[in-house]
Amino acid sequence: MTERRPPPKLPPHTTRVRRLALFWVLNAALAAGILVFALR
Amino acid sequence: MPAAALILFYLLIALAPLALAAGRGRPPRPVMDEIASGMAMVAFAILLMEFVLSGRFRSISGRVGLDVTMRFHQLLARTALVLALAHPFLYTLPFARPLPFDPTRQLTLTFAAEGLVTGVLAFVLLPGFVILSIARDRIGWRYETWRLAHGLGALAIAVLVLIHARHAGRYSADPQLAGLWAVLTAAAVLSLAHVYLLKPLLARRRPWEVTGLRQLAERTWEVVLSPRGHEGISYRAGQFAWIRIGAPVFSLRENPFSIASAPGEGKDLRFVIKELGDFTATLSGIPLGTRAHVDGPHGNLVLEGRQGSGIAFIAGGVGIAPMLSLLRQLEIDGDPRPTVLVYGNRHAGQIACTEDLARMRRQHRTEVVQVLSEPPQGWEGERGMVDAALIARLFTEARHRDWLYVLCGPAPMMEGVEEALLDLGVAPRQIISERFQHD
Repeated sequence: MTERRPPPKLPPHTTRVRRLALFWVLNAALAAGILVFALR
Repeated sequence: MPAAALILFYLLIALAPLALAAGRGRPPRPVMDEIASGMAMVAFAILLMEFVLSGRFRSISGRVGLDVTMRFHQLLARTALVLALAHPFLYTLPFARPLPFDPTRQLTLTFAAEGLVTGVLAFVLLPGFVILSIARDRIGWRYETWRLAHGLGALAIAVLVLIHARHAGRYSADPQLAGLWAVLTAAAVLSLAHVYLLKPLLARRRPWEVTGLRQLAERTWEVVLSPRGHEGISYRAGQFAWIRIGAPVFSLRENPFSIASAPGEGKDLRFVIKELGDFTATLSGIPLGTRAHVDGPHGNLVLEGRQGSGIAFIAGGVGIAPMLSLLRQLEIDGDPRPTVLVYGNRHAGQIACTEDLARMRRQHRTEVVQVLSEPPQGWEGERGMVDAALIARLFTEARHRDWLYVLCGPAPMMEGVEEALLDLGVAPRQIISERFQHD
């Protein structure tokens, strides 16, 4: 009998996505800073 | 949390030029022109901070890990590249000589040779430089050559951008912003000087000597270094060091290797090194007594400050080196927690440190799971790769959820194992890893 494992809770490549998330948060913060500067 | 504080500090410096420029209270130009200048200033700040994020500063990589530091360095380089390349195309104002009735340069862009020439040069060099760095493994340069080209190339681009900013920028000649650029450029130059001049000079006063060299497996060698006239280095199990063997202190023949000995074993450092090319290919011919230099320790693949009711070490190939250090230290400390070592290789001739593995089995009751993808006839260990399926089979029990998992090996192995562990319900903070290569 083969055991059926439940489907993974997290999508594939989650760890890489998690690491990249910080990068995009930083980019968003930099972009926001540039916009605030330009629209001052 | 130190990592979060470092990121906030980074953001603060990257945005500081904008705050200084805005603080001058000049009349605004069209939004696109201000966005272009803002992008250029942020790109320059990122470029200058890249020098400090080179992975050679323990205060940074020791807090967040070398993997994270290097990935940060690589990803932010892409951000700086996009901002730098896009900014010239966003300006809407005409290029012209400064107008006498426009002292704040609200109506024209500067038409100065120094600013234009340096800007165009940097515009051409920067993408080539970043592409060369991303394609490092494919271009076939020796590591030492690449490293020198990377350091000097980055410095040349930084100097070009500094001149460009001073002459072409609306804000960068202002005393406050010029001061910030001077400080950041000085930090960049000093970080290079620190790595290429100061560290070698300090290393000369703390020499090491090759006191042991033996072949452990196919293309895998053990090198023992002993301190001469000093106390050696104070390190934690699982860390690595940059070592230079039989080369002058200012030589770039310096490579990072995990320390395979444990701090509790004494002052000598043991390294398990795989012949890959460059300096590692010459290992077999090194005579005992050869002078060596050590820069370290670096990295945070360490057990201190981490929780786990048991510890699993998952290594591929020469990734066994830090595991030996960690397991040996647990053995010395008499750590009562259960330990499992999963060690993958292609064939039996590549299995290194068999005596260490046997001792760990015997004395520390470490469960050693050997995995071969090309096993010989009669092989009693696991067959195949160290992959998600194997991990799911080995660590199925509920007690494995709160174990600590230490990973070191080739990138595809580590990614597969990480995802398998997360699928099994292991929390991300319970998985620590270190890569051999960074892009």
